Amino acid sequence: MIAGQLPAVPRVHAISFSIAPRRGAVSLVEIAVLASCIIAAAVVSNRYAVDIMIRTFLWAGLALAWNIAGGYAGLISFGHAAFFGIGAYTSTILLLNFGVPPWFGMFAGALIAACAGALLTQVCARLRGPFFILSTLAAGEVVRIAALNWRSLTGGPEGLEIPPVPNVADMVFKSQWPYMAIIVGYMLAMFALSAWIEQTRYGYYLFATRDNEDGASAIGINPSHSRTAAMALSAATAAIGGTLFAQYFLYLDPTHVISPDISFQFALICAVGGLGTASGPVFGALIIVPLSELLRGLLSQSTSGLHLVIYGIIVIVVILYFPSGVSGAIGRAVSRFSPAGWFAARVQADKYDA
Amino acid sequence: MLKLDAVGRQFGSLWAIRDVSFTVEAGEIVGIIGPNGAGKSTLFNVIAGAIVPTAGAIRFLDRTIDYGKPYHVARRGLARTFQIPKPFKQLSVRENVMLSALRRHHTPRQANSVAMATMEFIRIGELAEASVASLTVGQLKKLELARALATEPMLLLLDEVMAGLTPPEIKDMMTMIASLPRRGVTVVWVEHVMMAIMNVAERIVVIHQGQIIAQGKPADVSKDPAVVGAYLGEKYAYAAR
Amino acid sequence: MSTILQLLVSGIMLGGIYALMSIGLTLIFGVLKIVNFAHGEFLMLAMYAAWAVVSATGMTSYTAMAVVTPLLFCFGLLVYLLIVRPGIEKPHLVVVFATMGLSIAMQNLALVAMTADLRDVAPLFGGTPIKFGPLYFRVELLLGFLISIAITLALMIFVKRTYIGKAIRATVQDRDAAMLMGINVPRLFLLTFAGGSALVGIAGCIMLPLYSTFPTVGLNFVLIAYVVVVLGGMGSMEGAFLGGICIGIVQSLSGYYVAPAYGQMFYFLIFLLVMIFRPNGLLGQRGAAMVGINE
Repeated sequence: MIAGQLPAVPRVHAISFSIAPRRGAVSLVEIAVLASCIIAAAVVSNRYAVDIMIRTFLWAGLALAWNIAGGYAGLISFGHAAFFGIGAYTSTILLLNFGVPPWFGMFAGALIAACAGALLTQVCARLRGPFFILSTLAAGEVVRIAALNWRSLTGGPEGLEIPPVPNVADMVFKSQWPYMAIIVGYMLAMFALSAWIEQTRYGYYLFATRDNEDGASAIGINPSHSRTAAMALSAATAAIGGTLFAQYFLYLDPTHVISPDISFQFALICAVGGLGTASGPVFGALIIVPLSELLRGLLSQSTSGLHLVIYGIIVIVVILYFPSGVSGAIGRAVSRFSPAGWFAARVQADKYDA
Repeated sequence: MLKLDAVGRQFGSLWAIRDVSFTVEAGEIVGIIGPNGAGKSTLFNVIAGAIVPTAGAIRFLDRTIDYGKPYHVARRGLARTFQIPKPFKQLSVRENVMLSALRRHHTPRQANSVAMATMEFIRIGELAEASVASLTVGQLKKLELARALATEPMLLLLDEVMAGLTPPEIKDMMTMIASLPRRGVTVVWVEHVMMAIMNVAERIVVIHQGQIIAQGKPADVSKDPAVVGAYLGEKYAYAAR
Repeated sequence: MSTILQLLVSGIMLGGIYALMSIGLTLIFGVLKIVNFAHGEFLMLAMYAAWAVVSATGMTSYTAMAVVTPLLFCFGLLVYLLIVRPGIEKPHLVVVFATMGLSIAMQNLALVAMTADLRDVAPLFGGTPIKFGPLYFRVELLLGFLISIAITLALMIFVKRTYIGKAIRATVQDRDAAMLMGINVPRLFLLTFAGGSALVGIAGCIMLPLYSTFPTVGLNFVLIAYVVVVLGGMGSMEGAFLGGICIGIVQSLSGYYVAPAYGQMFYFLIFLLVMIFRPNGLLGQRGAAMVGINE
């Protein structure tokens, strides 16, 4: 069918606005949340609060990276800690052994992680559902154990330490604000990337592949390419987050950086915030990270691990009762309480009454 | 436009289709009928590139198709619907249709206009923003068709698009399918709703146990004793007389 | 030669135990079509429960089964009602994430309550192995294998002969058709989940004397359990048995011939290799690993 033979249709605007988060639109809620993040980053000076904020924004960026594969392409990965670790270790090893500034080192890490992600997707091309998920988990564990045993490269279980000598070239700073600036920038860049993906055809190819592979192939989309590209991009951006993590904490060891707990955290932030949306991972991180830091602060004196018990229970409750996450809940709340939404609901109700 | 040459596909020791040869010229509407399990779906999957044939060759627009790569076949202008609809569940109806147009029109904005026009043509325009989960079986079938058409194909494979539709909807759909050749779309159509396919298709291919047992004009095919025996049954044979 | 024989026989025995551990999973997976990510933590709970019973009362781990199995049954019931049932009609990721939350909570609860220390029980007969000709067996391995075989056979007969068993097989094949045939599918789900958990309870009691118990012990075994499910085909007990024995033999041989430094990698590598090269399972049935669930 040729488009020219079809009746004229109303133009779709290039940018549309909405109140609640919606695909293909700039939402006021998102802008408000991101703006308050930036303002808070600029205003707050309490050292503990800034530390929690830096962690929160870093995790938001990382969860956005995970979401590219897990949310958009449906490639639920519980091995993302491996990509995160590859990023952290690559830039740190380059810095410590060869003096390469992490500003460049992070792209080396991103490249290696992208290749690893593409390889993993190709290797697991035929797996679906739980088997894909568990394969990523197993692959992540293989990387962790390799990092533990390859002492000459990774320092083994003792880990690697970046000397705490402030130097802009080495991305090591004395005060917190440069870290805050870099990490807020990372989060905003990840958000922009996600919002862009949602509005381009590449993003739609990912959605199609996620929702129905046969359907996607039937309209000319190569599902294998979509999956591989999504995983590579997701791995690369997570690796960049890994470099930032290493530079902020100045210490790396396999048990803490490549552990499955890190991968679970990525996934759970997205699940709580709302999978497959640009705002979901940000909302999720804003809730989960301060919450777990707070719980850790409150409960760590008594026994280690208790905060994670509570955390696990909260996750269960949120996921069972808000399956589309906080982002979806906000969308529903807005559509119910906003004038336009209220009107639409009335019209709908009248239709059923009639 | 489409030429099948002794195509066969074996599953284990069973030939789902065997020695199937026919050609489809541009602008035709070719109907494929046969009892359940005759191999029609396998045939479609083979033509669309989803299943690799064990024997024979399929040429589309004078080139052999890429077996096992349905997305290449689709890009060359062959669209299909699925008997069991395969929508993109988390997207709206409009986005489902728009996705099909994205390969040719690059930006969601341009693809949207194609999608809207296609939805109007299929008469699901008012469902544009509905979620796929809320659709009825009939609406899902129409969505399948809209999605296939929005790729702007040269050749369209229709797999039982009438199943689940009400009689007035079937009438509508018949008019619409009949108008496709004028829009430059050639149609190959598998259908169980005999009234529809016998009236709209110009040529019928009958498949039974994986092999072609008859082909020709609908009126001739329906009188063919082999066909009547194998498939159409007494009722239709009686009505045809 | 006798080394290889010894390794093979130990592998088969280990495999029998793996099979028992996986049968609960294959039933739950086959019938409910859900992924219980906390399956490994169920096993961890069973092992701790058995350990608690053994250290408190001084009975053997095998007699502790009488307590642990009903306990896990009830626990499965509880988890089904609180977590699985509310999520089962939602997209399948809901149950994945919810059971993942459960797994995190259980692991850390174990950490809080039991610390990260390894828990062991004293070996039977002072650890003296039994000798058959040139072959030696750990008493616990032999006992575990025999119990596993007995339970697997009993279950196979149960599934072949009884109404519930037939209902289970019907539901594995086609849930909707089973419902139309008058099978009370929701109740079958409940029974399968709780029953599958009870089987994990038995497996935990058998495994307590063989392995140390610690809060994250479940992760290694859950991967093995999924490998066995894939190799055997989902919902198939015969398959799970065959798959378990294959993995047992591979582990036994590789543990001896490959450097032990890679020992902890074994579970993950074997999982990946099976997924990559044999996602259709041993018998080439319709690939369990390739079907998305809750389509």
